[in-house]
Amino acid sequence: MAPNQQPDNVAGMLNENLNENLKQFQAVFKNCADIHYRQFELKTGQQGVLIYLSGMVDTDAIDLDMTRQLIESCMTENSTSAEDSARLTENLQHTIQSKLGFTSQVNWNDDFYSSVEQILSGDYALLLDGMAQVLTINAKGLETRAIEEPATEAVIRGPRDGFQESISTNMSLIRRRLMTAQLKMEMVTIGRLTKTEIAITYLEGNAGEDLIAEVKKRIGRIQIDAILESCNIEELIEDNSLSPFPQVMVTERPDKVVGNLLEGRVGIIIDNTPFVIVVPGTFFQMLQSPEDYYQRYIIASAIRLLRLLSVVSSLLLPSLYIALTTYHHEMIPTMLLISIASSRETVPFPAVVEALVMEVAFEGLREAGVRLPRPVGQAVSIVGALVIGQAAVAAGIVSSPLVIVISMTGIASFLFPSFQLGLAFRLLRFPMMIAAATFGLYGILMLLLFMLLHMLSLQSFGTPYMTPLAPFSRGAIKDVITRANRRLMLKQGPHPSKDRS
Amino acid sequence: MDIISRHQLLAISIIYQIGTTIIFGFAAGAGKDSWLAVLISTILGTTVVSIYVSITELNPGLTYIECYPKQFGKWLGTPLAWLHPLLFIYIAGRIVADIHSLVPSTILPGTPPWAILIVFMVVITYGLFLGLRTMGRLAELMLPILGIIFAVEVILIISSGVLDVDNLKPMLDKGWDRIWKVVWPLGIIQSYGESLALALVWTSVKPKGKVPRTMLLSTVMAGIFIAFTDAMAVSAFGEEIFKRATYPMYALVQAISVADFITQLDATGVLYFCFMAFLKTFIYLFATVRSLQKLTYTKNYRIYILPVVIIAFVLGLTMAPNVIEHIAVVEKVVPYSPIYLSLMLFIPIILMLVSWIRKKNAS
Repeated sequence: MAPNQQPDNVAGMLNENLNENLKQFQAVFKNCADIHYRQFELKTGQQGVLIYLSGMVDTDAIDLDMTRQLIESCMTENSTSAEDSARLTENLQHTIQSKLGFTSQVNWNDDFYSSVEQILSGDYALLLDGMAQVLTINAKGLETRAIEEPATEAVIRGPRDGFQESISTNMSLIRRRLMTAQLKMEMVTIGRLTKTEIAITYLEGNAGEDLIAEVKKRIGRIQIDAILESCNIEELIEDNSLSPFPQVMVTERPDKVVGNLLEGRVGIIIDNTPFVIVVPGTFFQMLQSPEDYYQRYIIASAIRLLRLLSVVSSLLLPSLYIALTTYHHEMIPTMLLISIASSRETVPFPAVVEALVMEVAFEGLREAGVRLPRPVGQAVSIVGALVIGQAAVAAGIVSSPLVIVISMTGIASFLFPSFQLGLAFRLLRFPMMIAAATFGLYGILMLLLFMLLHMLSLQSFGTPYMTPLAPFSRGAIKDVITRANRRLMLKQGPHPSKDRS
Repeated sequence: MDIISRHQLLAISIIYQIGTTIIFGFAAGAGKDSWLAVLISTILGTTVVSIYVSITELNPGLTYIECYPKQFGKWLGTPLAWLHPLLFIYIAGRIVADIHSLVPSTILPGTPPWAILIVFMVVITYGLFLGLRTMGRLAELMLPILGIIFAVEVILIISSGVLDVDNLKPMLDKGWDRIWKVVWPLGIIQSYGESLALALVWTSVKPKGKVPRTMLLSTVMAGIFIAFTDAMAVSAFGEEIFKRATYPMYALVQAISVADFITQLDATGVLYFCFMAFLKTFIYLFATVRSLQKLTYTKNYRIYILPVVIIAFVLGLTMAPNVIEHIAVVEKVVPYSPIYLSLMLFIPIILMLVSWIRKKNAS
């Protein structure tokens, strides 16, 4: 705790008087309704107190009566003398450790503030009269929800467990898939107030030494009060904060994390969020779904090609429509041109205004669907379908080909396995439409080049963003556009490739 | 920092050497034998390229520009070296003028040319600031895509039924004369002599030692590609139209018509051209900036980017009053000008000999 936040009546020292110690704790935990003090008396008449935060500890693990008996069993008949007290501390720790089993970690704290921190992290603190030390017993018992199927990354075939908010559960979900000592998990605590636990996890030997060091360095230099979600960490460790593209991969799926650990990446598990960060993040990695590896490779390859097509169309479809109808009519087959022209006849706006209005409405609708409670959300989608689909066309505000284009774009943008990457493309669609409206296909090409240059210049933790396509890597290319058979991929070396231009 | 791989160099050189011929055609003066003229130019072109390569190989660690002061001494070498950035920026201006003349007249009739050029220059500037490495990756990424698009185009052209191989026959009915006329000096200067600007890229290639082979490979591949497209254009239009057309390759794409559904793909041809021009302009401006940096011993090359881009923009905007004059200058005046010929051919030969003799004497 920072010095300026100390209450005035706290000396910060432990002494042998129980009441004084207790007063200090009470001063620190003033107005904390969830702190509990359980006073008890040993049969020798010695006073003791158990201090804990309710909800943070497992109340079944430590029973007050049992604790009292334990302490008493360690005492000799007249234990008021100083030597007895010293022997008691020794015995007590030993007995508690052996009696409470291996689940609990028991510590003697000489320092007042470190014992306060132990209590805050979910330990029992045991104070005895006549001892200038605090015994802390780890019996963390946080309320957690059950392991459920991840909401954002569902699969047809594949494991159905997803991460949840507790870091220890999340760590175990990874560990039980990688039962090897090579799997390392290093704990760090970040956040001056939140004291959020963060585990840096990697497979020793698979992940490059310099990558691990870089991750530790970037996490180590974080100075912040609060970490509430993995995005807080993401923003603090990413390479280019001006880019719309996500540079780390975020996932709720343990199998996805394990797959990436095997490829030599580093995972960052953060307490209190089901989203685990995987670095370095590359573009094509974010276009992969774990299911690509759980379906037959021919099918999976076809799905990947479909996904690539949808990536391109979610970015370009509305702008191509604008460019073609505004500047390059001749490229549209005559019959199609006639039908487009006839449906655009009554529309009073230029194609770009029409498309922008519809796109904004569509994005608004989608956002509303996310935020609203389920029952209302359905009402929104009905209103959206009716208003945008039918009424707008019937009223002559927009043309029906445009509605088709917008809905195809919408479907395409749902195919992104990574929601974050999909968001980037949703955003870039708008400048693309404006480029198409001002310079036609030429504008689209130039903005596309600009965008590609940006993406190609991005690096995530030393790995080029567009690897393995550019810079080209022959070994890894088997698993990018399509997926080769497992037998062909067995020889694949650790990926991502480093030190490439 | 600006390191590119061998694969990236290959991609850059192929795109660069094919370059704007994708739309202007190559060696059209040779009529139906133009494809033969291209192949002969390619063979001679590889010698030219190997001269440039061997100069940089004989002076390890130095960029092409720095070889002049080293081999010819301060008083003769430095002025000669200074001619190069001027040449590069002039050619960059020529390519910008290509865009200036082609894009407004084909796909964007109503848009003011300066606006089109500003967009073009902004993207180039961004590329220059990001550096050669990013551009190498872009070339590497685009080459397979361009290859696929081209393959589709060829299939579409063939299925449109416009090709007539008889147009290519009889071979050499007008003799070798007109072939030599286009091969020397236009065929050698265009594409191959212009590879001089690539010489400033070679020092950035890692691993070293693969540059000569990569350059020869790209030169031969670009030559075969150009010969193929030339042959295709002649067999589609016949000799007379091919010779007269301003943009024969553009017309070739225009000729695509499959089942009345896929028609009028000319805009894609222009886009193709824009990308090629983009990469070529980038390399020229990069070469300009790099030479200026080396000649003025500046650490940070970025300070030259904006001035160089602005000069190229103004050059491109004002260089030619109209398309006809622009193309006439490119084909009839520029290749015969003594500056071009001496900087791209004669002086490099002397430089190579001097370097070679000095190296021999030293060892």
